[in-house]
Amino acid sequence: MRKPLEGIFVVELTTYWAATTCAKFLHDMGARVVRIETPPRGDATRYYGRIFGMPVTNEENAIHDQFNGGKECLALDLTKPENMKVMHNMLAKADIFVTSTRYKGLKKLGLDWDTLHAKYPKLVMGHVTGYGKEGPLVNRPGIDAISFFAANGIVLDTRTDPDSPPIYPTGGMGDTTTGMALLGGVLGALYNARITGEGDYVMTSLYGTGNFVTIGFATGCNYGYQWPREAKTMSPMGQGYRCKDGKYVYIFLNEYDKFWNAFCDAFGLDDIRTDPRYCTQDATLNLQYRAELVTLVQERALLKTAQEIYDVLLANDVPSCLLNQYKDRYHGEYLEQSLANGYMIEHTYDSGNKVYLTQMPIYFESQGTHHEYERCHAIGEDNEALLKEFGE
Amino acid sequence: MKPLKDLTVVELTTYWTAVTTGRYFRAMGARVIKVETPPGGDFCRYFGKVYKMPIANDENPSYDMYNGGKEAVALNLKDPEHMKVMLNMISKADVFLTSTREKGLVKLGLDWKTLHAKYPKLIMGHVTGWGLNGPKKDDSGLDAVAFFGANGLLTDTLMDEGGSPIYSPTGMGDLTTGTMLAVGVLAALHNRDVTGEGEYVMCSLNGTGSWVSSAVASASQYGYEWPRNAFNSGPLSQGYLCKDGKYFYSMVNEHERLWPAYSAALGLPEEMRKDPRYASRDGQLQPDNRRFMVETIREYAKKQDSEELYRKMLAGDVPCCVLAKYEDRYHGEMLEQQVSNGYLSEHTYPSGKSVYLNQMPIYFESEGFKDLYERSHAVGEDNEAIFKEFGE
Repeated sequence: MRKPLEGIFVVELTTYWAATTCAKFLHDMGARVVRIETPPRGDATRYYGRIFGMPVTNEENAIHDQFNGGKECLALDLTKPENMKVMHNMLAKADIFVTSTRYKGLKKLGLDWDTLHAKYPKLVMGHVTGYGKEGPLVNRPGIDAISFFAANGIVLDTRTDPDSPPIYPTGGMGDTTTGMALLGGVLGALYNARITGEGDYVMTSLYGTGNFVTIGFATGCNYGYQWPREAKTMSPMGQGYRCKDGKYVYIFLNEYDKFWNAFCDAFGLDDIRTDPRYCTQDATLNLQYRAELVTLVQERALLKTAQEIYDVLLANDVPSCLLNQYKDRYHGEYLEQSLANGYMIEHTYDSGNKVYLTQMPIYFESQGTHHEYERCHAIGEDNEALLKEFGE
Repeated sequence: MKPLKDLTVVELTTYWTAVTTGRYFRAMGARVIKVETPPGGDFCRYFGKVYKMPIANDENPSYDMYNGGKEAVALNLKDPEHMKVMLNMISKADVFLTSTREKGLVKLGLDWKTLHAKYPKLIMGHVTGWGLNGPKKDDSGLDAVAFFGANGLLTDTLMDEGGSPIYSPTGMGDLTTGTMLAVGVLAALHNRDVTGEGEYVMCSLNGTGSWVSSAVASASQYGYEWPRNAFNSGPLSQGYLCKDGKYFYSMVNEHERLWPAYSAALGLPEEMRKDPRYASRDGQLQPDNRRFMVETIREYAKKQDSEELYRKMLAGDVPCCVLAKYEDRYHGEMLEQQVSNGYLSEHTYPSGKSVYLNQMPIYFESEGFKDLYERSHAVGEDNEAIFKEFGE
């Protein structure tokens, strides 16, 4: 079956994971993607897995595979004119150019929008920046932990204990999210370019995308709403509790009174079952009682395993779940769920390591649930073929 | 000219996921008609209450950001007359977006099979909680659970193991998944214009949350242990409390390059700055050295105000910031940054209240920076016009 973007040609000059994700999805949807790296080391994120003790070889590079699998890899030193000629020969035939190089660098290379648009009027250029195009922060280094998470309040205002340290934001999540926003824009511009014959420059930033995805919460600040929330002032039935085995059980509901008895059963709160300070939602609007109750439940939760508590909640239809850790997606029913939907594929490397790799989570009826591992190519792996194709 | 100005989108949505997709299409120029159930309409019209924001027809900032500029038609889809209007609209639409569950769609006759048979060129964009298959496909799909909780984002982001789970920035999973769906629908539109065939495109909260966190999560398969704590994280890649009670935060991937600037800005003793146990990449990986570094940096960070430390670090090219709260984007340098890039636009409601509202964070060169504010329409506001246009 034809893939949705078959026939589209993309040239990618990127590092890290934002614009890289944009190009990866273009590939996954059928476009031809040629990725340019600087020899001899290539993209720094080829080596990122080392931090986590993962292999980073050409044969086995699980993180890099997920972001770059299937792309053609061309190593070009763009300071050399003969290499720049190859680059331009490709851009002349490309529909889309995706990059994360900073403005200054693009200008120096002659790959900035003004220059490219004059030469290739139909080309769509997709660009990821740290903070946008203008403004006081525009020249600061853009890293997702900072520009996407920290600068937008996500590292501090998600805490539920004011004395706890800042959270460790999910690395790469800002990049991947920003890459998708960029892709949304690039596809919008591509659609328009086909009608009008006119390309466009599309740009999004880590900062701007992080800002957008948190509007549900942040906007209340315009009207004086105070963040963060604290466990002790949150509804006792609207938060998570740590249990004896270190796992967490999580409850999220509004019908406090209806579920009070089940809640007491689950956490072993017999002694306060009829205590008027705690047994109704109205009572717990008193913040002192609320804090007392949360503290007590926190203590009681530590006396049982999460599963024991969850079983009782579930038997009583209390909206709740066990909170997963990252690793929990790789076994049991969550793994089954991911495999059934093509969110992950199983792959065994030559080393014998069997891993589950995450795929683009967009389902197209015409494609069905796809399970197609593609390895990332080595630095310059496709140089010979590409120089032949685009050298003259 | 807006990139998608010739397209018509019909959406039957609630919450913020497919709703965000619809808002992107609107911001890129499409005509978007939102169908709601009378008399109350989308219950997210009333969501702002939770954060003490107005929810009136003439001032509903939260709803405006997701639904501004969409035509609002209130239809009782059990009434054949109204269903006729619905189908007449869909027959002329390019895209149908929905967050209604599969079962509900079948009951209404708005499922993909039925629609595809009738309108072969239609693109249908669908959001689900958990995907189309697997053991959890029928579970309820809140973003706090399906996107965050199930993927480990509420516990493996903690820096104090044993602390309370973080408060999920609910809505963030919705908006991210909505962005993903926009990508899929745009690719399908591209394909339709080449092949003439419509497409069913689906994204789920669970799958999108899994994808955006895949970089850190996949390390679990090689035995990497999450969550981190202060002493097993990079000493230069975490937050430190300063004299003024705010946190200084940095994320340093190149330890050896940035240690001189970092240690000088903190005013660490000369001998420690030069000591290879702390200055070298390998030295700082040793647990004892790490612990000593973190403890020492904690002590020195408390000697300065966060802003002062930040300015010094910035001068040394250290990727860093003072940790923001959600509210910080609405004043000072952060506000300036947002407004100058069109991430926020200022809007004054009839009440006299002036607020900053978020906009789609995608910049199109052909459009430049624009105030994209459009008010959201009241429930059924466009019924008369829509019935006139699509009633027969």
